[in-house]
Amino acid sequence: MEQHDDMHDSGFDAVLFDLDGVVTRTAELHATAWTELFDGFFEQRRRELGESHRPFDPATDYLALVDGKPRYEGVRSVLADRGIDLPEGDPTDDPGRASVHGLAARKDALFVERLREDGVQVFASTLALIRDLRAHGVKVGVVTSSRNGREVLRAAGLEGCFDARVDGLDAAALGLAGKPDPAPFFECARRLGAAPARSVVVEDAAPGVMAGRRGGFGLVVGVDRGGNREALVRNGADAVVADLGEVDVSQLAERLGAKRESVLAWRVEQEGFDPAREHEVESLFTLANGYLGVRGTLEAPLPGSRADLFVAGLYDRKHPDLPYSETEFLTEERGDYPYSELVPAPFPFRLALTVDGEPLGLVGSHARELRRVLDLRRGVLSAQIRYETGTDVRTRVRTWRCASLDDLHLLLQEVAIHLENHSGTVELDTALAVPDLEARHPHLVPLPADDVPPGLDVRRFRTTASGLELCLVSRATLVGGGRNDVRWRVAATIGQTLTFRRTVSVFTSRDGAAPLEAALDHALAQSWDRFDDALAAHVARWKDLWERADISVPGRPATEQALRFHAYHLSSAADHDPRVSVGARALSGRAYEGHVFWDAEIFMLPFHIHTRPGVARTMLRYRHHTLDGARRRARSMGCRGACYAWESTVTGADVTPRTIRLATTGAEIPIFTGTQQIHVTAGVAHGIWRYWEATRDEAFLRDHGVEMLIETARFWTSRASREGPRLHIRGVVGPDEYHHSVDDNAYTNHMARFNLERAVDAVAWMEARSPEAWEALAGRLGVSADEPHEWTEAARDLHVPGPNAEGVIEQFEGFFDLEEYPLPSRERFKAPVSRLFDWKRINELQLLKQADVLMLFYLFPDAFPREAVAASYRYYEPRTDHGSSLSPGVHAAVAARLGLREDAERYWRESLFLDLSNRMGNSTLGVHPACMGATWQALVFGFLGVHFSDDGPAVAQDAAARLPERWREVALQLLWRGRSYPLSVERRKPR
Amino acid sequence: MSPFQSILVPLDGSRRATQSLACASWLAARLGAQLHLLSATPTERSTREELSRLRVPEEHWPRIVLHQAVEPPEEAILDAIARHRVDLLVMTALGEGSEEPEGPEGAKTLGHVTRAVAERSAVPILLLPPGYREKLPWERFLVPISGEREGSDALALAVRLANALDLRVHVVHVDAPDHHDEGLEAEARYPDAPHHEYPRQLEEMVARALLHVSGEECRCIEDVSLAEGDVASEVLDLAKRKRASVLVAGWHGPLDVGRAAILKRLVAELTVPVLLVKRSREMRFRLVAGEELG
Repeated sequence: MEQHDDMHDSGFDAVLFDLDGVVTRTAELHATAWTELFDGFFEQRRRELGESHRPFDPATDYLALVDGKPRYEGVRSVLADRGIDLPEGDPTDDPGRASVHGLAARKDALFVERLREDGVQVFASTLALIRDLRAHGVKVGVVTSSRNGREVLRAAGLEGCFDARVDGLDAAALGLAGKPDPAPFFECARRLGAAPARSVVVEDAAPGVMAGRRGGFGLVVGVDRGGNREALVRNGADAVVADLGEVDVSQLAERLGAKRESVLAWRVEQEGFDPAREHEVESLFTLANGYLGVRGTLEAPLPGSRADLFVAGLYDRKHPDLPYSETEFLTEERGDYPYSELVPAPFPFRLALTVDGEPLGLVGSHARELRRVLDLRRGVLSAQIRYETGTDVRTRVRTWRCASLDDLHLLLQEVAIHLENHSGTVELDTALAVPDLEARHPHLVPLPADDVPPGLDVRRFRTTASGLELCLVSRATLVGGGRNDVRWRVAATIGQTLTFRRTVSVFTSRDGAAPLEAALDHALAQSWDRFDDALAAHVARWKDLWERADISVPGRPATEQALRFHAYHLSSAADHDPRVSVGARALSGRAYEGHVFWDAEIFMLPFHIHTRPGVARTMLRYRHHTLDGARRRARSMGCRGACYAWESTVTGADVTPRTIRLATTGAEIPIFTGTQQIHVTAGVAHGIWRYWEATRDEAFLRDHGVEMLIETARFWTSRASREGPRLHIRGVVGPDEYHHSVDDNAYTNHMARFNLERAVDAVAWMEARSPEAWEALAGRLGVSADEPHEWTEAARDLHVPGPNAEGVIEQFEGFFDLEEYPLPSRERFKAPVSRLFDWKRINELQLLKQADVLMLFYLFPDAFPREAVAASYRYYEPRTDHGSSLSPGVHAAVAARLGLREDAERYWRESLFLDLSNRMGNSTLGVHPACMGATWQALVFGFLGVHFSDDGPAVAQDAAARLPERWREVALQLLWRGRSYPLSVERRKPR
Repeated sequence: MSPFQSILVPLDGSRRATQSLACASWLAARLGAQLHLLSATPTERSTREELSRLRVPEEHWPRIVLHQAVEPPEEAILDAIARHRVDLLVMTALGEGSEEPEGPEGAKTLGHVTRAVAERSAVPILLLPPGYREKLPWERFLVPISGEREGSDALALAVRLANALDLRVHVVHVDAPDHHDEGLEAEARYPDAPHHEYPRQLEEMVARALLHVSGEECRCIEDVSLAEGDVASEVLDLAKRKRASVLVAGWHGPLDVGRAAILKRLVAELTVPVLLVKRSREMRFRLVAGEELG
């Protein structure tokens, strides 16, 4: 029983066996029937046509040409090999007819004859394994191309040995393609209720192995009965044995588990196609490098694809027809401000491919098989699509692409077109022409590109209001063709593979005054000889990154995969340009118009601080770069210092919409966050201090950090109002956006006090450490000797709500007096959007959109008595509907620290799978990097309870007890003050 | 291009089965499709004799390819589908022997042959319900969608067929309060709530289903509406009000007791054909993540 549970821990659901050659010894019968068939047929050709053909070899020809294929496929293969052209016929052809189907029928008759005369032998070792598997509760299926499958099973007395069977008759009835298509295996897995990734395929023929591989089955075991090992390996077998006596149940489970951890947990794989999921997949499969991001759109975009390229910092005036956070939400233009919305630019990997005039893509009905893989380890997106044009005319197209992490202006792409069973004319068009540019990319107007060197495709655009220029230069070649061109027309022969390669160079006028020249120079500097080197350099960067960012959770591949998926998107969203930071959906979608929120410092920054502190520094320098905008904003509010915008782009001006308008009804909702959600300012200060503590980056603090801390502290002293001995901050929105115009929000006030205190600390540090620099800064900012004292007094006098008699901190003044709202379970995690329209009513209820008071415990785990944390959690958790993706991670962290393991795990999984499961239904408009950062923090600072001292990071003493229930170990590394510290927690075995 | 090139009509000589011929014949003529007639008979007869016996009006004879089979009807139909590359099956919900319906749940609306063929075949089936009243030519398809794959497939097929036949398409989504799913993990969750609250979200659901269909083809969609309540009742009501010629419905596959209750009720009460579009096994979408990975 214990072993059984262990197996299911490894995801071992089912084993699917091929029949002939694996279970039964019918291969000899088949080989004999094939030999008899072709002996007779070749003799007939000799007599009637005088032809001479090499006899069918039951060893070599059997393995190479017919083994594992539906019999008509086998006939075709042999005829093609011998250069014989026969009509196709149809399945009704009788065995005497000289057609593909006629010969197939004749072979079938010969096989049945042999079966009846000779009987069937069974491999005893296979039978023993099957019995052992079933004894361990593993489901067992049999998948065979043979239309005689059930007859063979009956003859061998094996009918009761399998939980499911898919044979040639089943496949015909269901219209399933034969091996090497994975469809029969999928059908069998479906009948068994088994997930392919958790199932094993056992095959002795190359097409069957290939089917298992293509189907993404967890493990493919090849059985080599002699001379077939190499072909089995070549076609995708993970392991090859001479007989199944060599493996037992636990070894299969072990191998499957190992493969899932070493391979599958490093990628996100899509099998098949569902148009309704495509926008979501486009977001998940975004390739980015911090400078740009390209959605994971198919190379030949569909009419409805959201095929966008985003370049960090490329903003234009808000276009009123583009959505805000949901497709239904429209927002007004932000006056004349020309940097309101991140520009969705044309898709740079676009291709148009035809074979013999038939367009290949998902638009038509030619696609038969689709697989896309986001390789997280290498930052490469690959795709494989098999097409059938006409009757059984097969073409396979493989592509891969990446956004170089080594050269941020460089995109790499390769396309391999393989004509499986026909010759034809392949046409490839690599032009980046966009159909319907105005509708799809309304911010851009095309510009002419003169004097372009031949063989390149050059696209120039200018944004309508901000006047920024974007240039894309595409350069493509046919490998072995020796020239660059945009459009290709190539005659290809059967079995030939045409491989095209492309580079795309991307520059904007933000990179320099002459982006066209820069893009052309960059494109022409690429050498096809160094194409592989460019890929290798990109992969090396990712390798370097993973050495610092990977988290290992042995035995939990789905968790590892999701954590890597998060680290992939967090890492690829940011780089080293201090003029930009990371928007709410990074560079993966149009939602939130590319605006930067508090998300950047509060949720994403800690991940970077402890994995790539240079990136964290850049993100904070963005706040310094936009400090003047924050100063202007504070002045516009009648305050001193600097108030950061709730939503900002490149200048620091606030770009938060004032209303949201429903696209269809025109109804409007007022948005209070832009004017009232001022806690973002203290969030920036918090990020600065967190970075400083983790890095001791004196240059940053001296040159950028102290100035920001001073200006933000000044803001709080002027924003707070003195009433008697206390200072109050009135008329704000806290993290919980369901309540506006509230007074003394606990989170805001606590953060403001933190900001004031850290400004005092920073000034003291700078005065002591860099007196000259301090003198210059103080002079420039007009900081008097008394001013830090004012901040100290303000911090002291500021009313910061504490726990009440029950230990609960009131979210804001009067919250406890609001009407109770019994929150139905169905509204948790998917709050009805109508809630936004009932904003007046919601403002009067004890109903939270997201963690608010709990944010304090999330950011300051040691600042509150445990009783207060527990009481506040118990109070607010049932009142929160988690309408924000940021909420579950915060709850997970706090619950984990409180030892509420069930709550912690539940919330953490909500956060962990938010995008991979599209749990909020809005991943179509981009992924949620802040949620990813919250998930990371919930693990590191919640479950593991990591805290820092001068000796470095250390996990909480009770971390092992806090681990999610089925984890046995977790290991990661954290950077702290220039050193990398390995941390691991292992669950203690129960005594 | 027409979505159907080869249409099969199985006939058993019953009055009900013969009803399907006029409909199939009209459709084949409009689409330029080959029309195959399958007669499951224990006795081989001449084409003329058999067509007469099956009560096939003579005007249809030139378009028809007749096949006679001696196997059990469902096997013969499945075999003919594979053999003649049939891409649409036209048959009545009840066949011979079902004139006096009784038996287990669902038997009143679906005869055992129809049921077996529907479950085992992958091709779309134009099903003539027991209460079918012939009304040709068709004018409008009604397509219920749910955000699930089978509904999307049905809508895509309806749009292609509507373009080929120059018809209009009305799409409906019904919010059934008891259909909300909770507790899913690592599987896409399509929260219905926004679709019910905002018309444009509903259009978004349609747009996603038709991602690979051109805007030109989508012009046949005249309206997308939202209803709340019991799914079958709402669809029946809308079919009547909109004078739908055909209901195009996606369907997950099984028809055994306790399954496909909505579909069975629609077939029982509709007087127009139901084009059943089974969830495709081809290109089945999977994202290998979460529980799928383990």
